[in-house]
Amino acid sequence: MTDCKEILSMLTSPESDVLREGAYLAGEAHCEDAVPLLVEMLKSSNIGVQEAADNALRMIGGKEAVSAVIPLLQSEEAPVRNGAMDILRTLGGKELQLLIPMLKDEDVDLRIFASDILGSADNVMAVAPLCDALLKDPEVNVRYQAAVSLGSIGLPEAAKCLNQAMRDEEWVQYSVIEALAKIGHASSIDAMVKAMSHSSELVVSMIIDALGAMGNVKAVTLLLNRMESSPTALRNKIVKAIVNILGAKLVNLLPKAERENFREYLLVALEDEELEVQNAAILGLAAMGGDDAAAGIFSIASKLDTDKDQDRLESILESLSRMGLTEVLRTALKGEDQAKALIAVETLSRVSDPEVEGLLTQSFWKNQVVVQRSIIAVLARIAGPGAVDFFMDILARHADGKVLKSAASFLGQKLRHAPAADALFALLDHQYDDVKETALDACVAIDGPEMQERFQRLYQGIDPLKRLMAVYALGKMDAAGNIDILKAALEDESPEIRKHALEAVASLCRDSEVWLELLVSRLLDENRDVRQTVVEIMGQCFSSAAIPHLLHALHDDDDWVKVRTLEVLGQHKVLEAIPEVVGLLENPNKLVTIRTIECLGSIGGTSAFRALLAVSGSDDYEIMEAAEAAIAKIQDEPEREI
Amino acid sequence: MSALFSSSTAVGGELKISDAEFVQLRDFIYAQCGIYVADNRKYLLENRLANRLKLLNLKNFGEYYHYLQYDTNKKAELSKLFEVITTNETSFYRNPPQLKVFQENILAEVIGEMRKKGDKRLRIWSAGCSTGEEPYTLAIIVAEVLKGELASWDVRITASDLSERVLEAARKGVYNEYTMRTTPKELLPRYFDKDGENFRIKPELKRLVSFGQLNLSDRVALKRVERSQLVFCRNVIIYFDDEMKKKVIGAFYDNLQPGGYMLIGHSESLHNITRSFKPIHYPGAIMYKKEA
Repeated sequence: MTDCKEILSMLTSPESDVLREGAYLAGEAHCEDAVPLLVEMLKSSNIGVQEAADNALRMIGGKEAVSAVIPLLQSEEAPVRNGAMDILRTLGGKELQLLIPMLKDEDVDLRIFASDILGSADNVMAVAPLCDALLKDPEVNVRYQAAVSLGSIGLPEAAKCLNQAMRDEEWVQYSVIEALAKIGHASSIDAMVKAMSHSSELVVSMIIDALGAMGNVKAVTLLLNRMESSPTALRNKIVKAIVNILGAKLVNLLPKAERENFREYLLVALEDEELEVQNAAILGLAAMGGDDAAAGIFSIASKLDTDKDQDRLESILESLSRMGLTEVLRTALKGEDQAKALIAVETLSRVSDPEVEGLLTQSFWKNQVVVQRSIIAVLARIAGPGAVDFFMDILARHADGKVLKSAASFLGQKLRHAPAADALFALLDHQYDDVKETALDACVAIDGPEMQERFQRLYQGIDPLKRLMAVYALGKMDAAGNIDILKAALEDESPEIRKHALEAVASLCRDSEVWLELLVSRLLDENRDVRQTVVEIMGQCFSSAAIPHLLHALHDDDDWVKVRTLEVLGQHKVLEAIPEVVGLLENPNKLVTIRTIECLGSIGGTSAFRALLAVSGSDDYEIMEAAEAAIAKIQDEPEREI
Repeated sequence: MSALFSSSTAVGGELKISDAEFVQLRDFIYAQCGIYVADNRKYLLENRLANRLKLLNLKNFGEYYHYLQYDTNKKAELSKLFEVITTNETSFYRNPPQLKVFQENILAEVIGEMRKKGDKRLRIWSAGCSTGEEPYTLAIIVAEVLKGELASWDVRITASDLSERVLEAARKGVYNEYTMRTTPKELLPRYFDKDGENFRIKPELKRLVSFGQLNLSDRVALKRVERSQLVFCRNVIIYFDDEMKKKVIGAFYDNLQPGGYMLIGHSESLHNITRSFKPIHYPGAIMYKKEA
């Protein structure tokens, strides 16, 4: 790193490039001696130089930098002043003792600047001096700024003085209300409501918003009392505030006498031009219900852009679904407008009403494919055995991949409907892999001797994809009964088929010994993924008979096979593997070394402990850290002897 | 059980990245290239890398992190990772209004000033050049402005990118019709040879552009780029956090000769990043000038 002395000489260069580089280096080196020169650079007419000095001073920080920048607040040059303000906003929070006295300065501008900077302090020590300025400073702009800053700091300690300042003139009230809303202290509700009687319409509107944002139930009665007498725009704001405070509990919490009136007000607020008011009205109406309300909400949803307004749409659909199976949903499902039909389906998917299934089934063929996909996905989830004919008809007549997937999943996984076997098996030839995959799982779910025969024949073909599907299905349905085919598949030319055959054979490992013999033959497979699979299966079906083979796999050419083997040996705490495992500590691949260390830590015992102690002094930090963690692991297991 | 069609179907949903793995990988990427993957792009990263993990037969993103650090193929994988985290959507004459302003106002002004000084050495830096569409577009524009004079000028467009793979494609200089969709039709025969269904950059245009791998978080490497009159870094800083943006834009500023211009993407902004440039507003574009 360049030393400070050299940097200082760069900072006196006439060349702007050199000055910028010097400033960069001064920041990186935290060179405090450079602060006076950097502060001078802030006054440069070259903005590139100014900016480099600005960045450097922020990096250096501390009392030195803050003291040196403060005098710039009195500069006649606005950019210099603004730059200094910005730096002090970042650095000043830790140097309050240098900033607070400025609140008493004779210069009004300086008092405003100080109030502003203290707002970024994020420090409770700034609250009392700012409160003092808010209540006592003769200059309105200082009081305004002090309130803004108290809001930015956002601590409840400021609530008392802000409440008092609600009596100040309107200009100050603006910032006081915003600050009170941010702080959200209960004591402020009365202060704000009291101020409503002698404040302008704008201030009243701000107070209503603030009360809504604060969410305190205490404000509801006070707001309800003002509703009747307020003009529509203000009343809509009150509606929003009350919904925000009460949320979904609205119906229960409102006094009975108020409910119908309030519902009417909500319907009016649905037409407000402000989105936030509309959203509150939607939430309120969702809680209070009614077909007229649902129609109004649906109309808003249908005008939204499904990409741009995704979050809003989601929230509206949630509200609509809470209202149940309303008339507007039935109408939309039967109508020509596909966008509206989609909204209806999406909403109905969340409504639990026995009538929904029939409604969706009847409307399926009347709609276009985009809506059909949506309908069948919902039906596949909610329908029962009574819908079998409908789904069989779809398998027979429909061509769309997504629709077919839903139907296959319903008939296969959900109902295990054997008469669907022909149609489902035919889908294994579908052009899309995802349809094939769903159909395959559906066939596996149906199972039975006939289905197995189909797959046994499929395995005899030349298409490797079909052989793969057959191996997968036969392994899932009955690995033991199809062992001959699986054995043959272990020798298949396709590594993917060999892997799936291995997994199928492994499913037998709890019931027979044949699996290990078959697996071992593949430990010399030319494909590393197959060899890895063998090791993983040996881990899942672990027995002492597998140990010699695992020790052999420790010497595999592929590092990831070694890694998987180490994991298995560690997981099963194979003590006799330690001598072989220790040998891998010298492996040139650091990942293997680290996994070896982890393996030794998992196995434990005296010799593992000794080997780990030896590597714990490694120069390599990561190896040392891994060794320490492994040693700690051994020590944490009290039953082991070290 | 592994997915049946893992190599051919989208199975991103199966491998989930944990919060800890995401932070580990995000910090690793940031340290390697300065690109900051924001929290809201976590699922994008998960989705795009899921197939890499499957191909490498890795169990989780923690293993992928280890692979990137220790595997013998880590360098090649890092390159793949860079491809995954940077989208390479680009085309010739991308954002035509901005390029029109560049051609008619900025380049004309810069060349005019150079002519006055008798200086014929024009340097342009296309940072984040992807598969080469931008630097070749700039070469075409320069050729269009200089016309018959081009041969007597010393023009070089330095085109850099983080990903070696895109640079390989850029060096080949062969493009399909889709990437030409906003290119004025009359320019095609002048600067491209037909190559079957594709278009091949003519050698005399190709020689104006020099491609090289460059990591924008490598300050020393940035200092080595020859100083330019014009810097293009369109849709590059979107990948960085504010601190990195400041560093990179600062490096472009230092690279520019006094009076030079920087162009950024139309959705990008220098607000809160730098005040050093003078923004000059034109219809449809803002140009950032380093004042003399």
